[in-house]
Amino acid sequence: MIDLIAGALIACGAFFFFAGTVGLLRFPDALTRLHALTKADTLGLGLIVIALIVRADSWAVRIKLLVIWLLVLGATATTCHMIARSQLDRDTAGGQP
Amino acid sequence: MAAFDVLLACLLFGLAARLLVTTDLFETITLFVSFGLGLALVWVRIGAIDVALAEVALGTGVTGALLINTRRRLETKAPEWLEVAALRPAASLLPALVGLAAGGAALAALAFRLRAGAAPGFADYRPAELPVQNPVTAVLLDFRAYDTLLEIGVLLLAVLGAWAARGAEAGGTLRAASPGPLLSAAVRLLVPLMVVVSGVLLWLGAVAPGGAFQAGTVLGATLVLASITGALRVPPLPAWAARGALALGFAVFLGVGAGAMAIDGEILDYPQEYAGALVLAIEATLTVSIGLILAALAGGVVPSGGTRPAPPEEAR
Repeated sequence: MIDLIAGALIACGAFFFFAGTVGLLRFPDALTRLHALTKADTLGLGLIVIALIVRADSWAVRIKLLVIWLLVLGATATTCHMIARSQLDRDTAGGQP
Repeated sequence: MAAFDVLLACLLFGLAARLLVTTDLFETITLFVSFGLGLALVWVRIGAIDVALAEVALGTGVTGALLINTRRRLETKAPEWLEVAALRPAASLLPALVGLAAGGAALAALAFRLRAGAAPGFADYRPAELPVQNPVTAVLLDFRAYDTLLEIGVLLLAVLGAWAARGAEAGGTLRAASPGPLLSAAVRLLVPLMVVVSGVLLWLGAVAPGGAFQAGTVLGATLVLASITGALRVPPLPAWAARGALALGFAVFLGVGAGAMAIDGEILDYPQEYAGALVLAIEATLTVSIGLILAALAGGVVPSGGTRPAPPEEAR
């Protein structure tokens, strides 16, 4: 039963990663690519971490997984913000005289 | 899992092939970093977590940052920056001393191996004598300690070479143009956490994957992050202290090794009862030195001429 739930969660997570990768490859500019990628990362990784937490043997492992997820969330959000900001700077610098 | 392994192997071969044929510099760097990450997965699959950590941190993270930095300099500046800066007598004293020490260590290691006839095999290295429980750390710091000692010497010489080539004061090449409030806040949160993680990795090195190289890399990344965002102002160290800290790990390692030679007649053959403590002491100082060396290589974080890199310009 637990394996079934975990498997379904991992499959869902993998789907979001797949969708994000397709978005990264197909979308036309940096901002829309970021949009696709960060949503996929956040949701996909979240689902996979939940699946691993369900399967984990001990609370120490579960808490570690949760902390890893939070750290990646923070890093992704910050990186996304920085890339978007740099792109915005470039756009405004190039678009205006 | 066999299917996964085959897929991973195919991916690595594909990346390697692409890496060799591509001509675009940025694409090459991206592929190199991707290849490193894939390779780390391979190390995990064959159970070599220590090697995987080192591959990700040093082979991919630090090297990737250095390559990107170099590419930017190649694009924005004419190649004149490669001109070797004029060495001042005071600045060349330390490199000379370090060079002598490194040469001496190399000769001592060579003499040791020659006298022993052949290096002892790992089969003769009995687990009951391990100074620490983690076999990888035991091999790095005890069984093949002279290899590690000379590696640290090479790292130190690399920094001195970089300083000589670009001028020690030309540091701070990696710098965020405008860190922005979010990045500054994230760095403030992350820096204490990263220092703790570095300490944990160092301590864990005795029993589990981890150790001085991994801990030092995390520390180096922390220094670079804090320095390029300007979120944390590290009090400027006097030049002699900064340079001393760079060389500290090597000096302590060499000192302990030489001390062991004075007692026991063989370099780096620690006395049994203190071996664990000595290994920990060496690893702790190595962590600090490796962190500073990597930070100095990546962005000239360590001031050397009594000045430190100016804080990044404020946001527009």
